[in-house]
Amino acid sequence: MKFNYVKYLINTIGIIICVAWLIPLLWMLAVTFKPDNCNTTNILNWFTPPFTLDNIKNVIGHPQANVGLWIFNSTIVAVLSTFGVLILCTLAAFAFSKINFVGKNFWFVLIMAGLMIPREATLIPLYILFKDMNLLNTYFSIIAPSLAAPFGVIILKQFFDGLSESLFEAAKLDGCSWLQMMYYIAVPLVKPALSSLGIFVFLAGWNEFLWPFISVTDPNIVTIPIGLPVFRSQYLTGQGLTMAASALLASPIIIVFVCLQKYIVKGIAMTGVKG
Amino acid sequence: MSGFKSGTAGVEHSLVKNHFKLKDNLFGYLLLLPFLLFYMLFTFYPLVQGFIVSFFKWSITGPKVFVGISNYQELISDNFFWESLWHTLGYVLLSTPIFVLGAFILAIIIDYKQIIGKTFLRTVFFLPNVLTVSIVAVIWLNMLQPYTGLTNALLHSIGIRPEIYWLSDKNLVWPSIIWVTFWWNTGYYMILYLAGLQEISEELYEAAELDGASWLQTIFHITIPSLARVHVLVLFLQVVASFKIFGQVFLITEGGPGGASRTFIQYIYEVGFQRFFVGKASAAAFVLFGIIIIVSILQLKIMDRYKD
Repeated sequence: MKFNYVKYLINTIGIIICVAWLIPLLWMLAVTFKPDNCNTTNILNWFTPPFTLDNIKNVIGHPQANVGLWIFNSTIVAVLSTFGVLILCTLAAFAFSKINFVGKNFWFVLIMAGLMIPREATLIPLYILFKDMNLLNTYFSIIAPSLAAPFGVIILKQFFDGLSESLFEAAKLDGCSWLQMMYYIAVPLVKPALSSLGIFVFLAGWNEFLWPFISVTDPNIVTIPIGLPVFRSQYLTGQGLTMAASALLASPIIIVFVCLQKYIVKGIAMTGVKG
Repeated sequence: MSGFKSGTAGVEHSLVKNHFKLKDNLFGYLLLLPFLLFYMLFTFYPLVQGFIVSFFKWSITGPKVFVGISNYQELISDNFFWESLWHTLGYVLLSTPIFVLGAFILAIIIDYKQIIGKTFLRTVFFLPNVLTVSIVAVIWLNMLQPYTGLTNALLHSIGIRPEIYWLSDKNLVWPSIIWVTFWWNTGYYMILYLAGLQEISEELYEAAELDGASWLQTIFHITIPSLARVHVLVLFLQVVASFKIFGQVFLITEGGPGGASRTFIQYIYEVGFQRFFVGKASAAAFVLFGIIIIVSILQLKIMDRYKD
């Protein structure tokens, strides 16, 4: 049999890219767990002692690095925005898919148009709006602008559209109200879509940078994406502290990702459907 | 809530048809209302408000003065406006082919039949994507530092001796940013490609194999044409995302050296939130909105052709 060089070539390229992708993350861990006087730019040193927890301890004990609070705030923001988006989008998508009401097309087109409105273009009025409502520096102000997600409505509507009409006819004859039909029939049937969308929204909420960066000034509601840069800006030269802080702050989401990978990948693939 | 219950009595369709219609309307709007409220208040209203403010001189605290199109005229004569716009446009043009091609290559590596460790590779390629921009910035700020960073150390170890100033050389700062963003984001587009690859019929490849086609030939004659819709999707997602580039650049270079990496969003941020020229910043934001609308409409037009 002929030597299959394509197989070796592709596997080799795969391994090289894989290593290149992992090196920055492994280096972050090396800098975190090696003493400051150790030369971590030599990869051979990464896997041999001495190791230390000093950097981790220093970050946790640092008055300006409220790592625990940032993780807590990011969790609150991500969880609340996930539930908010799922509830709002499910209700709206069900209405668009199954109920005939006056002006349905008009509202749907208006919401579709929202796909083209970048948050970046509305930052200033948004800031002024929350300032006028006296709601700046609240969890609500961080979450509210992302709750009405047009792509969520569009994706869920597609899934509701795919459900057989006869299910609902039968339920109607049995005397089910719209609310009951939605809660007992439609929602359970689109659970996979809801969980994929939910994880996608959770990630986006966890990582959201621009809007909190501009609107949040109260240290008590600082999230990971805006807490870390402020801390970093004070230690431009010290690798150990900032890398340890990054490693600590990256760990929750990496664990979540590794556990829920299947759903995350599905969720991302689903957002491609919207096009 | 009792209203829903009493309505369930109306089983005889013909008799209560109008009643049902009214209920449908009522209930339809009831379900839509929460979404619509947030949408109108936090997406649509700010857009309209921004457009109006772009015709006023205003510094948030002082009085609003109507100035017509003078904010837009000021933009046109502002060098920083053009500079940041060109930087962003240059980034879009440079990065897009690299990202689309890169994502495609990562996807076909993972989709290759005899690849070892498929799931592991997919996990690793996608992993940077779940990190927030701030963590990405800290990692690469350290990676790209001269003397202390790992990038230069690795280059030295393979014989490239000179100390490279990735972030303070104005010719290298954009390639550095493209590389960082590539590492961070390509996994996302790769997943879109992988989803597209699942939909290509296996029979096509089997037939080609029988005809004696090489792997590379199947890629060019089957895979690439079959993925036309995904190419367009990835292309446009990437173009729109690139016009909005800000976080990683701002956190890694703060727009430096000497403004060489100031992006369009950073310009809006500086004019609006640091110098408080709210009207002028809103005008600039509307220019961005205009660009994105044009790109989006182009996308809709082209995507329409690939609808089955």
